[in-house]
Amino acid sequence: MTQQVRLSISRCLTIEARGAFADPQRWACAGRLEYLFIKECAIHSATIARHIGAGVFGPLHTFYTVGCWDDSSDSLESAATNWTIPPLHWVKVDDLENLETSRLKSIHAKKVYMRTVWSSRPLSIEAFRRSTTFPEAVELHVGKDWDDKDFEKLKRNCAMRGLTKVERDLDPLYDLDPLYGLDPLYDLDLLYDLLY
Amino acid sequence: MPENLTDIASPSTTKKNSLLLDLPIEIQIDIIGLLKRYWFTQPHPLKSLRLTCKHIEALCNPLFAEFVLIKVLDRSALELRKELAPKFAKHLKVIACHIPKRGGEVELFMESVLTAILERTVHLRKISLRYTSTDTRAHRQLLNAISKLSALEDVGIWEYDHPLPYPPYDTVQSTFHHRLLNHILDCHSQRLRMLVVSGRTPMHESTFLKLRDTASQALN
Repeated sequence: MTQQVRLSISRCLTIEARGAFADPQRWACAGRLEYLFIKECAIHSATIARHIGAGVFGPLHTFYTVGCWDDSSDSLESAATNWTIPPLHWVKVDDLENLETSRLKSIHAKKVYMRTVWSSRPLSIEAFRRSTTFPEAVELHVGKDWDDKDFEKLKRNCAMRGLTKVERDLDPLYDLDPLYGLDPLYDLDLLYDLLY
Repeated sequence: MPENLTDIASPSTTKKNSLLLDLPIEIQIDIIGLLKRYWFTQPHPLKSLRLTCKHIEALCNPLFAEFVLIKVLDRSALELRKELAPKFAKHLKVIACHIPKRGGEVELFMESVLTAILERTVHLRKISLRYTSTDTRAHRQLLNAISKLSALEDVGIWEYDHPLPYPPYDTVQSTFHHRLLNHILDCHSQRLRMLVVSGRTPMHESTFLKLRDTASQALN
């Protein structure tokens, strides 16, 4: 994929592809790929984070993941410790459990969009107290459904690490990126808007 | 020769008439219908008609001809698309289509319409294909037409039946999903800028490796 700038994979990477995916060989599209979207695939979050950090996909602009599930075999995998590329412009994570979120938080990104992650708000609040959670983040966006009390705690913790722009603006009903799951036979109006 | 008695065989008349004939047939019918009652009261009816067609053609071509949707339609709608394919397909840049699983008469006709359109789309940049996970048909002509899309750079492959449980891995290689994705990678991987693959049919390991390594193989 020499020209590939956008790759979206939903559901079809199953356990059988896990071994091949884990191979840290640089992808052919690395260097051109800007946007990577992975949804509901059986790929370990730790593997994804390590690959991104090691530049397996090249210097990405955006990584967006939804509901990628793990199992116990991921518990021994380490997240990205070696970061070789510039920080991503955006990382968007949605519908992830504790294990997956804790692996992906090692991703270096400027803007973090985070919705329905970790099993409780206190876990999110606590995680953002540490600068190792999405290092280099300068902007954090969370769901509109955060209540005032928790949101204030989150902002305080973020401020302690220098992350001062925290917004509560993600709609629980809409995708974090309107392009990712566009099915033109059902979303013709939206497609037409995007194309012309 | 008077203006309203034209020689239809002359090159200039053929060129002028083609302005009208290049329009989608529904519009041609509407224009003739609108002009019919005033036809003989116009001092230069053909001139007016040509001018009208020229303006409409300029206005409508980008709107009508750059995007087409092929899904389960009634026979007459499909026949209309097939009839018009030679005229509009060359303008198409985007096609979204639904590949029928069943091999019934309407479905086969629909696929033949899609193939007929694809064979003439020299500027097609984006194609979005929807299929069912249980489709194991070969769709050879369709794949053959897809392989010749020399301007293609954006492909979406969507499974629309979302099967649960997931289709078993050992049957993947017999599915259309597998054939289609491999065909796209084999024919277009050097030019693709966007690829969307969405569906529960597992991606075979060999396909995944092809996706990952295509350019490396090409560079070697």
